[in-house]
Amino acid sequence: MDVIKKAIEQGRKMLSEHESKKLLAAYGIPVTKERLARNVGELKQAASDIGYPIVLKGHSPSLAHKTEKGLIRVDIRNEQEAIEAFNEITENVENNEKAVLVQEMIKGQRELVVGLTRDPQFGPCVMFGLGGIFTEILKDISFRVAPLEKHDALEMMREIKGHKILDAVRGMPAADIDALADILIAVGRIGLENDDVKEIDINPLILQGSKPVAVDALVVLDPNGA
Amino acid sequence: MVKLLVKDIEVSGSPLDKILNPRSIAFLGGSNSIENIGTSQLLNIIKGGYQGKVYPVHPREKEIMGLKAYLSVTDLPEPADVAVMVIPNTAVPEALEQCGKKGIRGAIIITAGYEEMGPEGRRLQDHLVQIARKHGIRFLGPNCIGIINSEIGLNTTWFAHLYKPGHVGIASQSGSYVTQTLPYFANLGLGLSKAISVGNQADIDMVDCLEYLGADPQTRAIALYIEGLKRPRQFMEVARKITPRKPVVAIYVGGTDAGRRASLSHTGSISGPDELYDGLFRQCGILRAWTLTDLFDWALALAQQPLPSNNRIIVLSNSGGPATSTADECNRQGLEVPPFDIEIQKKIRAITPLTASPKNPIDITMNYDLELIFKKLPELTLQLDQYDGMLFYGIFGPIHFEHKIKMADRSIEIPLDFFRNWMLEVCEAFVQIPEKYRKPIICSCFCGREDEAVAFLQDHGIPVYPAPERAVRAMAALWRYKQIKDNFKLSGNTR
Repeated sequence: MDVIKKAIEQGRKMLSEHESKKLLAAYGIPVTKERLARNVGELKQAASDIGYPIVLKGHSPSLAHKTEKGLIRVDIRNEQEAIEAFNEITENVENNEKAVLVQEMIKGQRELVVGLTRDPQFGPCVMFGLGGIFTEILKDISFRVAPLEKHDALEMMREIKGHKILDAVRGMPAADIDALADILIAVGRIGLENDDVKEIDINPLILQGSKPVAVDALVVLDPNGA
Repeated sequence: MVKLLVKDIEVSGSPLDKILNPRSIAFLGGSNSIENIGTSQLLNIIKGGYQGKVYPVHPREKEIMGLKAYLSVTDLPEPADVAVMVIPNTAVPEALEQCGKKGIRGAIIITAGYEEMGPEGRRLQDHLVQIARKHGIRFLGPNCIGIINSEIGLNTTWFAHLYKPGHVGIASQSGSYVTQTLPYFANLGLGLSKAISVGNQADIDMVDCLEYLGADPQTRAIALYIEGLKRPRQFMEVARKITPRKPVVAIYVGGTDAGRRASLSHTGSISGPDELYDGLFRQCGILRAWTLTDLFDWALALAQQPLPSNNRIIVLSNSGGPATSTADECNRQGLEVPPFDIEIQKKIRAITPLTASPKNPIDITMNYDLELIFKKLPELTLQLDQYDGMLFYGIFGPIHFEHKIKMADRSIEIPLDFFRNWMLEVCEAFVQIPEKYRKPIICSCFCGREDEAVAFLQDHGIPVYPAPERAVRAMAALWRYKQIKDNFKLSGNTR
């Protein structure tokens, strides 16, 4: 994959959020509509194309965990707010790296996590679980060794303690289980087909109604991996 | 002790065929002195019922335990099928070379002091592998305790206890779990088919053992104790071929915090070996046990009883406490204890004492009507389509009356023989019931095999566990395995 090659040539250990999503999209994983904007002009264009409300994220290959650095602004409803947010975010960023990711805002209360880890013994393993900021605290997760088949994906989703969140609960529709299964299978394929990919975080994967959308993504590289 | 002739069985073309079914054994490291650890193992081989040839090898002794001893394997009248070595690790390479030159193609290296000690030991171990490859030798170990093959009465391990042959096959990375557990298995009525201690897995490994036990007709349930897999993908492949038709229970230890590493991603930092093994076992259709008790309890039930078609269980008891404990634990373990229809309750009421509870659990309260609890009630309830298995508490055999006879000292008349015969008769019918209805029965009793009735049931295929919760957990394991089998069918099992 080109995004991976480029990053490795530059000696980077991670793909940016935008690059990570390009990789996911190439494997059929639904991602947010988004564009990079390097200045206010591009910002306005992107926002208008995508449609409000939008999310703005500081964008730089070295920013791994954005909530910790205060570089996200959500629920931006108009151009004025967008410009303000843009300036706030890029204030803390180097001039030559000034850029923000302009992203559609996905509304959904259910957050899941899908990940990939490359185990030295088993090779690429896919993870599924309840997501958001509590992932590491609750650790309600399940694993399968890639390659996954459909029934592996379906089974691993049923194994998490909070699996009922995927049903029709609290007025929300049931999650599109098939779409979720496809995502799990695809993530496994990414690991099997790209030895340079060491880890993947899709966190959160938000259910917009019944449809899963990858709202944030991180791909960690290891050029020596296999 | 069952004594069978050594059979020339080739189970699967496996390297374990000759090691588990040797026609002859060369034993290096035993002597006439019990101070020698190897001597106990040699004693087990000679006196345990094995009918094949045994050649003790010793640098000085001419005769060991009545058998002619040889200076080295080179002097043997024929190349033995397997060489068992309990000699210092400095002597092993030379001995292995001699085996190779003699034409001995199998070995069990009990000796320790290899990879488990660190890099220096690892080098010694690699050296052994080199020698073995050169001569086409396949070996188990090093740092293992050997094997048990109950079909031919062969036990190379240290403990002598051999209960009767049975259907649980074990492969373990810990030697203790195939030898020090033998008295424990005997008390539980757990019969082994084969047991293999893999040690450091320098050559033969867990995958080979799993494959062997999967193909072995005597083994009906497989129990694995795993600390780490050397060939995980092959393990998965082999396991997935076996689990659709033969249950595998495994315990994995060694991966809680130990394997976690610092990581740039959330996924990486929370993917410990424990969670990964969990996924791996589920993917392979392997039941994961969390304790050693569970590991062996479940393997025993899986080896002996039919699987329930669903999770609706009858609880039958002669006491309220155990009945309640059982029902309570059922609910925690994903089993249901649905109340009987009014019609059925009426039928139960008609044959039980006034003090009895007929709902499910059925508690007949304490009484001596053996036929009621062992015959009439099981037959009445297990034939119902809406129930899939039975948990039973209420065994008491002649031993209880023996105690009373001692105390009564002839002041009360107690017809012990009559009672004993009656008990045996009822038990004989009871043990046929699972097969008759193709539904499992699992028992619990606070008495062990000193109660003849417990021993009888255990010897005839009905597990009797020392506490109600263990019986429940075993039943839940049967139900989980049934679901695993069903899942394989659903997913087409195209692997």
